Amino acid sequence: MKLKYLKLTATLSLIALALAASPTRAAVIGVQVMASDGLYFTAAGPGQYWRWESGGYCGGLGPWCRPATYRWTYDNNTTYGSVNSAVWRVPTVQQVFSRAYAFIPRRNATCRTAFYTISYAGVSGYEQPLDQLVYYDQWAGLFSGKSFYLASQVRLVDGQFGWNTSTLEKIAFDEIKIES
Amino acid sequence: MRYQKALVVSGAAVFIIAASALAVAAQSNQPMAATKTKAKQLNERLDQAIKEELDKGCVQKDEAGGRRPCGDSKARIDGLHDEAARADDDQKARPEALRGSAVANIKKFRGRDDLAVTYQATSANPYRDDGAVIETYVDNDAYEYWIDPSNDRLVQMGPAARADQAPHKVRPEDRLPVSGLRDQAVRLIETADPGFAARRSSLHPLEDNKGKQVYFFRWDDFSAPVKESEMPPFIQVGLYADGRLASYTDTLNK
Repeated sequence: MKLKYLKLTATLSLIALALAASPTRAAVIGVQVMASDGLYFTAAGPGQYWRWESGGYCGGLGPWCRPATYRWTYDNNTTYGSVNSAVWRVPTVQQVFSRAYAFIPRRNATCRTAFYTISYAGVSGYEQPLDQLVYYDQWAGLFSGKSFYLASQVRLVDGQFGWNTSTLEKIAFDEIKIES
Repeated sequence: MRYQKALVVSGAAVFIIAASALAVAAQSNQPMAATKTKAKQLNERLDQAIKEELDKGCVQKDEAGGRRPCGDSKARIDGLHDEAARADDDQKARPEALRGSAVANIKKFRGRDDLAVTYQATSANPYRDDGAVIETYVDNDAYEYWIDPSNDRLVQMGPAARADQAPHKVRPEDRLPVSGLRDQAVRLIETADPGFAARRSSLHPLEDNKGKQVYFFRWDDFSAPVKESEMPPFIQVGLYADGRLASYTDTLNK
């Protein structure tokens, strides 16, 4: 009986100490990875401009997901805005704040101003460019660390009106990750 | 009898320790509970505003065929969204006083005491799936840093996504030989990660470049199996062809 009591109080102590511990871990509600050309990916634009390559996150570093290829295209002359684009839809829109990351593959990702837009809060959109050139087979943070409520999709376009980028630059449409 | 007394005294001592710890935890959780309540209320206000603006506010079709708020409707939703985002981050963030060493480490890494470093947010670490978080900071040169708050070490550094990015190429006369870039990369890593030199021989080296503009020096650790959802740990430096630092990642140290 007394031993049981001791065990109970010791357990309570451990729980209390755990509760008081420093918050360097968070309750991550969900991690959703949307693959390039996967179930939640929709591409738009002339088919002749699209290219595919093996590799990227699902093609090597994240072997659990498919397909093992990713889509890319040349950056568009920005006089007319974008020609090719893609949307990654978030499978389960969470009623919480989420952050978005893009996987930047080692090949075909040299665009200095890859314009990503996230849709959130039911209807709003937030757009910022990412420099794909400086990242190599790794996750890059989108939107300067901002988190978004009800994040529902991420869109990437191959050019932006008024941006003088080179048409020799390549823009990769690899995996997008949403962490809630 | 003596044994029983000792048992009761021990039990009482453990109980007092447990009660004290619970009291401390409860006290420290009081502001946390208030923060959580505030965040919940702000989320509810945001939900309500979205609903109202979609029903009656200014809404226009966007280029993807979706609906976007406009005018005052957009301003209202964005304002409430930013406020709710800050309250949400207050729940995840460690106290500002504990972030000083993270800022100091960033300045030390860049070798610049004059750098103005600003905390942005706390979020899940994309390289791990064990609930580990990163703190995001930005400096006045528009670089973004990810810090692991459990040890204040730099996880990743690169240009922040931003709207005023000026594309530029390295001029031929400014280019450095690859051997010089390699030496620079190793020096940078050894300064940032004093344990690297001892581990280097067990890591898998890789050198590559993108368009001969940015050169990458990477060492992967394939020595131990990793979770399917995580990448093998690695350390990597990206240098422009003229030697300027483009990006840095270190997931070797957990």
